[in-house]
Amino acid sequence: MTPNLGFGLGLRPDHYESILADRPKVGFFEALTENYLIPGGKPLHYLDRIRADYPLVLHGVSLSIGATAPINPEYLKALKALIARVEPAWISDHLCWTGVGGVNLHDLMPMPYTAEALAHLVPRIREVQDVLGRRVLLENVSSYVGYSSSEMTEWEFLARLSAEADCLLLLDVNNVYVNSVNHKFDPDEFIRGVPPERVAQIHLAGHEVQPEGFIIDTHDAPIADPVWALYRRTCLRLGKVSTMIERDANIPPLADLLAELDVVRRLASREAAA
Amino acid sequence: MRLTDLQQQFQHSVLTRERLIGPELVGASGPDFDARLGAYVEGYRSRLVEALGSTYPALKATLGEETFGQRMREYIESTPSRHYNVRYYGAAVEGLMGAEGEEPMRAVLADLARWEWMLAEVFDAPDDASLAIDALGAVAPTAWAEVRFEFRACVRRMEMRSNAVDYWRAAKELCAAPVEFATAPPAQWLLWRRGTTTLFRSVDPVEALALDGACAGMSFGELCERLTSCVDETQVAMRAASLLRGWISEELITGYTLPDAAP
Repeated sequence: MTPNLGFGLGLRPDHYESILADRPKVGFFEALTENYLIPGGKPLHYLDRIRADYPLVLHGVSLSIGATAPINPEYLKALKALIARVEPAWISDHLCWTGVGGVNLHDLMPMPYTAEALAHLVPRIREVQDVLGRRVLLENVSSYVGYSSSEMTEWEFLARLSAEADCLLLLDVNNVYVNSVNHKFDPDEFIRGVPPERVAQIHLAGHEVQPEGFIIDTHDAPIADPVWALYRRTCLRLGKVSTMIERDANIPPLADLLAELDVVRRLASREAAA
Repeated sequence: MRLTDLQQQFQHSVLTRERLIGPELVGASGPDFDARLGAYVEGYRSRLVEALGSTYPALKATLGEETFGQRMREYIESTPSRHYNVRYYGAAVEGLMGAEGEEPMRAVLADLARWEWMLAEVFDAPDDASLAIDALGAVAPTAWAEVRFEFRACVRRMEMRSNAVDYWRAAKELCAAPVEFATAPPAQWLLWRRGTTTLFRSVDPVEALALDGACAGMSFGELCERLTSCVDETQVAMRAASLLRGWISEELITGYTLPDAAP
C-alpha cells in the first residue's frame, strides 16, 4: 500500500529557497524525476535538503512505457539510483509513449485503447516494476487527438491495465476534464470507471482553452472551475487520496500555491466529511 | 495499423510536419484537426526552443528572442533530441552558431554557445570531493617528480577568441552589451564549481600550459619539464608548486596517484 501523504505541491527550483526558509505545511513534494537524473550540483543539493524535511515522490516523463521500443536500461538504472538516494514514497510516470527509434519527442504521446496496446503494455510495466522492486503509478494523460482503432474507453483501458499489470494509477483530474472536452465524453463516467483501490494519487492543474474549443493541458494557470467541481465529485467517489497541484509555467510565489492548496485541502475534507 | 507503425507514423508527422498520420486519428477531417495535431507538432518545437533558451540565455539575449527562436528551430529540424533528459539537448548549437552571419559575429556566437554549454556541464557535474590542502604532505620529497593529479569532473578549460564573455556578462547582469562583436587574441579560461557555486576565471598562458598538462595526466616532473619552454629553468619547480597549491585551494583537484600506489 502507498501511504496517504495528504496534500502536496510539485517541487520547482523557483521555490527551493522559500521552502527551506519557511518550512511550509505541505504533506509532500513531488519532484520531476528527470530534473534530478544528473550527476550532481545544485538540483540534487536542494532535493536532498528538502527530502530531509518532507516526504517526497518522484514523477517522471521519460519512461515511455507505451513505446514500441525497448525500455531504456540507462534510464531505469539512473532512476533506480535516484530512488536509492531519496527513498521516495512512490514513483510515477505517464501512460504514454515519448518516442521511438532513439528519438525523444519530450511529449506525452497518447496510446490507442486497444487489446494490442494492453498486451504490449502489461509485460513492460511488470518488467519495470520487477527492475525497480516496487509498483509504479501511471498517470492518465491529456490528449488532443484520439485513435480510430481504439476499442474501449480510456477508463476501461486504465482499469484493465492496472489489474493485469498490477500497477497503481495517478489520476489527473484536470486531464480527465481536458479529455472529456477534447473527446466528448462524460468526465463523471470516467471517475466512476476507474478502480478506486488502484488510485494512489491525484493531480490537479490549470489548462488553457484554445480558440477552436479544445483544451491544452498547460499547467500554467490556477485550477479551473470545472476541474474544481470534478475534483469535488472525485473526492466523493474515491475518498481520501494524496493530492497535489502541478504548476510548470507562469510559476507564482510559493505562497500563492499554498493558498490554492489550502482550498484543495478544505474541499477534500468537506467532501470526506460528507 | 499495428502499434509500431502507428507510433512511427505519428512521430514522423511530428518531426517532419508531413501528414503521414491522419486517417488513423479520430476527426481527421474536422475543422480543428490541424490545431489539435499542431499541439503535438508545434509543442515539440516550442518545448525544445524553451529548453535551449534555458541552456543558452545569453545567446538568446544576444541574438534577440525572435532570431534565437528561428535559429533554434532550424537546429531542431536537423537535430532530433535523442536523450531522455532534455537538459542534454543542444550540444551542437556551437556548430550552428559558427556558421551564423559573418565574422566577427560568428566567432562571438560560437564562443558564447560553447561557454554556456560548459557552464551547464559544470552546473550539474558530479559532487566529487576536493583534495585537502595538506594532503600532499604525505608525498615523500623523492616521489614528487612522479606524482600525478586527478582533477574534479567539473573542471573545464576553454580558449576564447572573441569578446563573448562581455556579452555573457551583459545578459547575466542585465548591463549594457559591448558596442560591437569583436574577435580577440586567444584568451584562456577555467570553469569549475565549489559546492553549488559555478566559478570561472581567466588563466595566463603559463598556467594554461601547466593545467592542460596536469589535466591530461602529466606527472609533476613532466609539468616542470613542460614549463621550461616559457619559465626560467631555475624558477620552474617553484612556479609549478605555486600553481598546484592554487589549484588545490580552489578545489580543482580530487586526488593524486603515485606509481607504487597503482594496483
